Amino acid sequence: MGKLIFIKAGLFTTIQDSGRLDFVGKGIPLSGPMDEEAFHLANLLARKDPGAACLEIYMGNINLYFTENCQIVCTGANVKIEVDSKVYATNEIINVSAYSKLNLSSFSQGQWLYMAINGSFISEKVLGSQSFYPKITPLSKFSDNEILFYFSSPSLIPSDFAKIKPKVLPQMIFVPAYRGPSFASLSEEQQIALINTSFTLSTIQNRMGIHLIEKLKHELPELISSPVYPGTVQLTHAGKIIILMKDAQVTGGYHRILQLSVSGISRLSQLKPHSKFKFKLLEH
Amino acid sequence: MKYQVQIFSQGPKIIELHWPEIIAEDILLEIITLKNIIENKWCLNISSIYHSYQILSIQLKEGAPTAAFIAWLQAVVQRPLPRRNLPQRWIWTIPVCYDPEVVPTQSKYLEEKKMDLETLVKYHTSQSFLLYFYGFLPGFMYLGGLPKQLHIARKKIPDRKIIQGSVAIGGSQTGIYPVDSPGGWYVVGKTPVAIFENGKINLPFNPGDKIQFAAISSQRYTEIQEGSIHDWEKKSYHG
Repeated sequence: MGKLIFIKAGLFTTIQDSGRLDFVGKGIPLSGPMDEEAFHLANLLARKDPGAACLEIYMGNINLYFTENCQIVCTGANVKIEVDSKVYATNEIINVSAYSKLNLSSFSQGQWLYMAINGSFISEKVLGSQSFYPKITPLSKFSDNEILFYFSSPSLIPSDFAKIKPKVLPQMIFVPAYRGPSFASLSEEQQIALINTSFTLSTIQNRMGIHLIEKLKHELPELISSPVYPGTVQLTHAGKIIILMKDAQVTGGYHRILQLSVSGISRLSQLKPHSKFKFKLLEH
Repeated sequence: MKYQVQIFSQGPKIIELHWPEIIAEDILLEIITLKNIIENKWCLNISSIYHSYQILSIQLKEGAPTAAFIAWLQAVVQRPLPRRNLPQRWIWTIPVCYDPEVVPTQSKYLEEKKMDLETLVKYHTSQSFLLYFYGFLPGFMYLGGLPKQLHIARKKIPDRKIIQGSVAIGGSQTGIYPVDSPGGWYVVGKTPVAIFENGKINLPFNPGDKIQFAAISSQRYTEIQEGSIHDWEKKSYHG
């Protein structure tokens, strides 16, 4: 069994797998990766099940030390990956030898990075999942000098020459979304504003949700609590827009005006504060 | 079914059934019954299913036959609901200590309400409360039926931390904080039973069940707290 030592653990590094689907009825947040698409890609490249536990790393600036040989792959945010001063890109299998240091600088694009291992990261499964969540799992994030154990698979992934290029984000970003239950209660003007406005992400964001800067004034009546999901776009009484993410609570009392698709959540999660985007209505 | 139910989908994977926007026990019972029927027939296609006061939410797995599912739902909501699909309901007893030594912050509630401890305990334990659903925090129960005499406006400035196990009142609601959390409710008691412990969740109560708070001494509080797994007291309920 190998040890992965977090020499520098970064701002918010956690373990994420597919989350706690069976316990929403007891009010337990789903959890799981912020960028599900990048998470699936990491596991696919590491020849793992799509929902296998990965390290989720926020914003970069981390330094890891491995005590045993292993193969890893990083997806999601773009970053220079240095292993003992050799440089690698995202989406490529990296052979890490025992007693090596891995360094991720600050991300050049995107916010969330997934590190999958050809083997497995060992941490306690609570309520069917390894995903960190405060008060449910022993840790809510990794701190400096913390140790994570891992198994390295004896069957090695051959180095291949076909490579998946790192993602490049387009100039204007569209986040696909379905109409939420309260969409029809908005006036035509408000609906048009919601679709035509170029929204800005505020600095208030974490794994529970993202607040937008622009407001949408309305006179909708107050509601009783209803189910909410990762990707639910909430409109508060004061007109503030909050987009719920993976660690959000399972019910909420605000109007639900849009629901992001799975790829919409992935796309939004990678946008840094002050980025702009537009919602793109999906029909179904 | 007694109520008119609307089917609302948000993309191919999130399907909701909307009852009228009222908080009522008979709506809850329709939801629970229908949830049971859906789970029995579609379990292989469902990734999660849960509800609030008047919305039943179903999330489908990748590749589930959404159109067929919705067509089936449309037919089902037109028909009367078979009563046999309502699961067994229980009244659960949750031990609560109201001793000011264990719950020092309780005095804020009593002062604000100009109420004595005896009256608080009497009303809080006089009847059982209906569990509508879980939400807000992991394991947080939305309970209905708090007597009017105990209602209190929520604190304008929420407390930074309400300790896990606190039994609190806010507005017309009462509930237990299963984990530490900021909150604007007044703490009136404490339950010694840990809801999250050693990676397990100790919440056998289901929506539709009733919760009966029972006053215990500070000595009993400590005994239960130090004991191993708590055996919940329950009796069957035929509402």
